[in-house]
Amino acid sequence: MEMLTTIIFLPLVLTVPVFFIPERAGRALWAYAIAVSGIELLVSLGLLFWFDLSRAAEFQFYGSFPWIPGIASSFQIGIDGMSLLLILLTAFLTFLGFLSSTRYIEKKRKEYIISMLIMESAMIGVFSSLDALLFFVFWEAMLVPMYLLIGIWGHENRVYAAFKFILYTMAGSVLLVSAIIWLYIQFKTFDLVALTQATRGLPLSAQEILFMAMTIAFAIKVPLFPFHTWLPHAHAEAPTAGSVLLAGILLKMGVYGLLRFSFPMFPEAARAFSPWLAVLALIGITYGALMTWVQKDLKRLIAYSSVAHLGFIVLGASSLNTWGLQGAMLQMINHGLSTGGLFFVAGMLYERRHTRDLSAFGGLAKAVPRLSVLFGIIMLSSVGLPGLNGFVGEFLALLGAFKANFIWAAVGVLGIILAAVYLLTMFQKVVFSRLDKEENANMKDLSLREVLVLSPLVIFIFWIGIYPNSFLRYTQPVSERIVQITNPQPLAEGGAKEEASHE
Amino acid sequence: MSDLGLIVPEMSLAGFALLYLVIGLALKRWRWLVGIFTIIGLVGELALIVAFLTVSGNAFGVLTVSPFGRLLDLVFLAAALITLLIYLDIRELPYEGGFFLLAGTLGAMLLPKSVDFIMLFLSLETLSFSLYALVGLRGTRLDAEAGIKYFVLGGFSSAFLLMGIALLYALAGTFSFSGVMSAISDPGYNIGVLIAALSFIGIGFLFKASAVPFHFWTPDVFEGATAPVASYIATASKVAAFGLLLNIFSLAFGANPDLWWGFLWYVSVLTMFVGNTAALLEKSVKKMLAYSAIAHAGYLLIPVMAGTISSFSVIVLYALVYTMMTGGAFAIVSVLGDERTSLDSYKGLAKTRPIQAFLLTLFLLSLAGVPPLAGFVAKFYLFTGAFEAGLLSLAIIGLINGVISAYYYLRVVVYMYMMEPEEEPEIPKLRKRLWTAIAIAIAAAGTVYLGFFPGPALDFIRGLF
Repeated sequence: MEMLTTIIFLPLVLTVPVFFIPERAGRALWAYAIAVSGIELLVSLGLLFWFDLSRAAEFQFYGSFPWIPGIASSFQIGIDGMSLLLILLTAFLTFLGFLSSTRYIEKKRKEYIISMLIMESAMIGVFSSLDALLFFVFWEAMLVPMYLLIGIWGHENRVYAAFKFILYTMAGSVLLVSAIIWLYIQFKTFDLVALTQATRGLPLSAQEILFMAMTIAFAIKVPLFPFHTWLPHAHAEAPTAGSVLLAGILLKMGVYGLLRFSFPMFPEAARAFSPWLAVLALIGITYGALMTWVQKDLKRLIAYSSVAHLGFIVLGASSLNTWGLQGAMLQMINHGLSTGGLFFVAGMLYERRHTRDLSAFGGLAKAVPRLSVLFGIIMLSSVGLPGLNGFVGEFLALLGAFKANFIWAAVGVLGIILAAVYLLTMFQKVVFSRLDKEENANMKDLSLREVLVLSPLVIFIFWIGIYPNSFLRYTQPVSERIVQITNPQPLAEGGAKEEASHE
Repeated sequence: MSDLGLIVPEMSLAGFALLYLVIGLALKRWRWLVGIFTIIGLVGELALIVAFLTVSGNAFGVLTVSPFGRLLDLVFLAAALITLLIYLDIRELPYEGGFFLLAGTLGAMLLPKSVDFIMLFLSLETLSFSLYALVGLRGTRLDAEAGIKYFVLGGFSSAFLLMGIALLYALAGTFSFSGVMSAISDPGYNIGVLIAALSFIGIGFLFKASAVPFHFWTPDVFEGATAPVASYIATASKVAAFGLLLNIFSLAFGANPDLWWGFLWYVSVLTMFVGNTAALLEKSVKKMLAYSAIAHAGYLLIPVMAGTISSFSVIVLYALVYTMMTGGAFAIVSVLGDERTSLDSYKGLAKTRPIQAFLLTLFLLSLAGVPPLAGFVAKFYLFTGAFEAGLLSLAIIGLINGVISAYYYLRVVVYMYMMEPEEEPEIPKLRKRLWTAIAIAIAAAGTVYLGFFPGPALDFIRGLF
């Protein structure tokens, strides 16, 4: 309890000293930010040490004390295997984000550091909340810092992108908060565990409405086709660390919401709607891939590839079996690492050339070999090359989809091929084609700091690719629990559905 | 407790207002002494009200003293304190304005306690006349124009109100709320007269509450009045009107909800949409805050319609939070100066005056209902109450409006943080405006504290009903 509370609020509390460091002292500011996020990362690693793997499906580091007793809301936190991995990913990417920002961010450094730290607190809070109201508070609290990150330190179109981002999410929040209030009035509690028990008794019609309300809110965040239109703008315009956190963490919050709220709370509705979710996911996979293919802007390209990749995650999740869910959860981590990595590389290229236009690059393999190698590995992980992390996750997700419905898997495989096409085309344009521009020839290779940003990502890319079980064993019990809730009799295909509807 | 004993806080405030007039005259040259005197007086008054919080009873048959009224008194005093502190910091403004503020607060305190239409009218006019005087007090052209506008339109609405009261008297033969209630509970009264009376009274009050379509005076008066006065109109005066609306609809017309309920529904929806949409188009921050005040009037009509026990606690909490954040925002506007209200003059404020920009951002985010600030808690509680009372569509319309409002509140943040300042501004630093800084500190502390730890305050408020 104390430990998890500390992890949530440490970044928030440690924003206070930033106010007293003068803006001129750039080095001190960055040293402070990196130190704080580093300490946060170390403390979060402590979670790993004390986490009881044999009870990974239960909420550990559990704690609760009354927050607004008048409406039965409490500060109730706890994490299972899925939240644990996501919290670690958050701390990890925030740390790398600061490490990558020291040269990139030149104005309003104090505000930048404060926004990033507040956001870290809010993101970790989202993954730890076991109280629906508390979850919503963290969920919304994260919007403003992200909005500022995009709007102040972003590229040319930043203000538009920032508004689009925040208004889309807030529109989704209307549905989410309505559903939460409805549940509160029905059951007089915000306690997630109690709610998950109670909501199963709801009639199917009520389940369906609530499921839709929550799922649309989360789908905007994921983003699932057709709610994805905010994403290319926000991702492309945000500063490097902002894009990394957007892609790496914020999108995962949408999937997390599906797996924590929508599916276990309304299992019957989840079964009824999962084919629709899967279809939307498949549209997202193919549409995202085709859109990615034609992008000329490096960051927009990566952004659209996220739409496709998140499609795999939702596809795996909506297959509602252990394989699919395992794939989805692992892919959440993988996507954070590989797309995060791609955004880091895009940021490094932008720092050197001040452009994101693909045609401005070419022949980087000769000019900047270190960058090219790391870029290549990260790109291949995003493609899903066997031996690297992306393969494992996508394979599991597709396996789950195959078990649920053959056609889903067939279309999904097409998406993998397309991913190889667009990513390799991009890589070919940027890294391999002729070195015909002088600016590219004179480009500096990675500095030690930049190698330090990318190499941890690469280590994890190989680790997950070669021995995914170190991670899968954390999520396995969670997946099994969700499957158990959503399929009371998983063996009797079809019969289970009928029995459930007779109840 | 005797009738007079019940209204000790009101009497002492009246005494304090008169004392202020005398002492202020003597200390005119030393404004800071006036400031200290005011703070001591208002804090004393605050303590007195806290001491009287749980006392309830009926005074002279025309005032009902209850915890609800006393809790609203706390809100009025908070508004008065914030406003007076800002007011005293503006050198050009005559000190006498403080007297009108205190007198207006007296009217505001009496208004939600009235259970008699004559008492109601008297307290309303006490409040209104103080405000008319306040708006025009500086004597510049803009002021005078706003003052006259407010006065004429206000007089107009008072006339409507009086007409309604007269009709009601013709119907019930009494001025007391309970008398009216029992007269219109039995069938056989003239329904046409009742509808006419209700319409006249409704128009009178919706004008005061700046609900659409009786809101047209608000932006002009806000633009013309000095920031502290506008802040006072937006907070104390409006809260008083809503306290009364809740009372009048539950005590006098509670038996015939079908007569007014549908009408209020449309007024509420219109008020939310018109307020928020007009604010979207507004380029002046003060007018934007005026439209935001209109939109908030729409939200506040929801608990009036819900009419449940929890409506009282919703109104108190929302009023308190709303007073803090609106008062705080106007305080910053006041520091920038009444001539600098266009959005353009907020460009790059984060660079030139980072502290002011940060604090204004805090208040605006709270107004937009972003957690973990107080505005979120108040809104959440309000909409939970609406859902509980079964006002599903109204609550959802309100939530959607919350999203629309985020756009214009955040737009100010865009100007402050995402644009470069045009010229070297002559905006005073906060430390040159000590009293205003204290007011802002109070508002900011409230906004943050009630956001992070709403539990104790909410429990306390709910415990009194």
